[in-house]
Amino acid sequence: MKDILQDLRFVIGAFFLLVALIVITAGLVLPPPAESPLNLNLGAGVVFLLFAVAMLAAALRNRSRSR
Amino acid sequence: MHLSYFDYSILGLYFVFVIGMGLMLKRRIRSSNDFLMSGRSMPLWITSLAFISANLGAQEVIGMAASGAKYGIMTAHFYWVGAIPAMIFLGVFMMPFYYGSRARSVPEYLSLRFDEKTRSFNALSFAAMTIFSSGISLYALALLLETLLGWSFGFSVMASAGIVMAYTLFGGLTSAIYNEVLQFFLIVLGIAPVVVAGLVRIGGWPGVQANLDRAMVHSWRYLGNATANPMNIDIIGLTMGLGFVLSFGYWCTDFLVVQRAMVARDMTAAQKTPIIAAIPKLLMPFIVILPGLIAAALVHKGGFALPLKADGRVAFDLALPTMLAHFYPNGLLGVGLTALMASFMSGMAGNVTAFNSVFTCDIYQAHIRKNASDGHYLWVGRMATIGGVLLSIATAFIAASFNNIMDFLQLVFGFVNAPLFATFLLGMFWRRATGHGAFWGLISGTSAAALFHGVTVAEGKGGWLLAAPVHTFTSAMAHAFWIAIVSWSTCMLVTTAISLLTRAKPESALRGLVYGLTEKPASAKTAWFRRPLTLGIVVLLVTLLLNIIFF
Repeated sequence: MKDILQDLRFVIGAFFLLVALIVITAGLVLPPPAESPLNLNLGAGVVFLLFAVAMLAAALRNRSRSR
Repeated sequence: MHLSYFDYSILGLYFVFVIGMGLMLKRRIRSSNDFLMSGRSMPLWITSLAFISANLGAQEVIGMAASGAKYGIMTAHFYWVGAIPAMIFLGVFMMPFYYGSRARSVPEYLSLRFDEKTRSFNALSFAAMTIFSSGISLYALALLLETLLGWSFGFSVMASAGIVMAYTLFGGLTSAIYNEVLQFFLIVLGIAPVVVAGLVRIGGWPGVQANLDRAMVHSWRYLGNATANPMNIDIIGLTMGLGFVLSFGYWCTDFLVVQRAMVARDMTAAQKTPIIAAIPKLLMPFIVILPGLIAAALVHKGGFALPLKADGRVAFDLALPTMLAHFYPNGLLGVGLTALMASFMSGMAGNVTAFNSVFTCDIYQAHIRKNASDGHYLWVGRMATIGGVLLSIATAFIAASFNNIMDFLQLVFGFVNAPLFATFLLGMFWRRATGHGAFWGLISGTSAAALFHGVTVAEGKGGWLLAAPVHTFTSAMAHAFWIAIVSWSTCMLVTTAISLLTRAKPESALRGLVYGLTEKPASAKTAWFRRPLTLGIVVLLVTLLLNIIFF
């Protein structure tokens, strides 16, 4: 457990996972700006989520390889 | 700008992560080498991202967007003419000497290649520059927070400096580098949505072109005449001053960035660090310059305005924050603001870690206490970190009292970095260059820069030596480029002349330090397409393509 916590990919993935959850929640809870055709919170939140999953997957793959 | 709980929670999360990372890495620090040099064990992808992130400070993120709004796509010359070729040159030609010599810092390389006085001159000027640069970063961040959020200047300075001090003190260079990588992703992912939203609003790149003067959307077409382009610079000043002297002077000799490559695992990784870093660097104009261009186009189109300064001029420095406030809803606004804070902290931490290495290795160990235990140098490194942060705080408050200190410091950086590149070129590629030549060349180059600034003038600055200046430049930028050319040429000539008159080191003392006396890095086992030179050529070809596309 200690090893994976020190893997930078895991740290970055965990950070962006939490950021994505906050941003997506904001996108669902707050009304979108009337003048904008995009719900930027939801769009960007999904991108952050995909990035976080990719980083976490890379960290886990690295851990299983080193084992 | 009004922040909600969502925005504050993202800011808070970021602070928890950066300090947590420092605490987590604390137990890895067992020696001064771990604290100051990361134990020379960093993987390539981390050193590469840290390499560009250390430079991705306040000047880059806020300043480039401001230049994009003011000067247009010509600002990309700082990347596609300046940074990229210099980074490739560093990786292919200079890293073998830096890394192969096993020097812990750039000044230490100068000591091995030349002598102690050249090292001391470089160490002292670099230490002073890093403190000023770190303090200016802190000042700019506090000013931004005061302007945008109404936070008090003093609180912003203390809180930001305290966080940077905590994570660099706990985890040393490793912690700074790990945080720089996190900050890189945060800056890119936090600012990219504003580019997308802005482009959607303006109608893509054709919309930007339709709403701006033609000279704002072409990088080369209007360089034939200095008065025809928004930067008011000519092609010689640009290619020689920016493309060669200033960019190579910064990217190839500034320990702040070179340090990130020097802590790589092996020689190949050290060489590849700046080359791999050049790939995302190529694309950075789309993240940091394009928002400025979009802002200028939106102002022309209507329905969007940039704030004005007290004297009525447009506050271009607020182009990016204004774009974030305009397009981002609460939630994403917190990400954008955290990205801006990350850029300032990344710049400051880079300067502080470079300062503590140079202070410990090149000032304290070289001149104050030579043969102490490693534990003592680890303690000195930690104290230098605290001292560096305290001096940065003092500089931030001094900067707040002088309205032109930033211009002055930019000028001083140009005075010091440009001649240093001439010293390194001669030192690495001419075995006849001597310590006396290098030292007096540096002094002469810096003095020539000050003299040239004193007899010429641009935008009301300079010309302090004469009642009537010898020449008036069309812009401050052209002035800075020509000062760099003059100081570099003077250093080159003086170093060459004095070297020919003084005794050179024997060849046996120059092995591993000079081209022709150093074994080429073994790359025979590496596939040709993975070699640093091949990668460098590919990156240069893509750079050429971008220059053609935005010609």
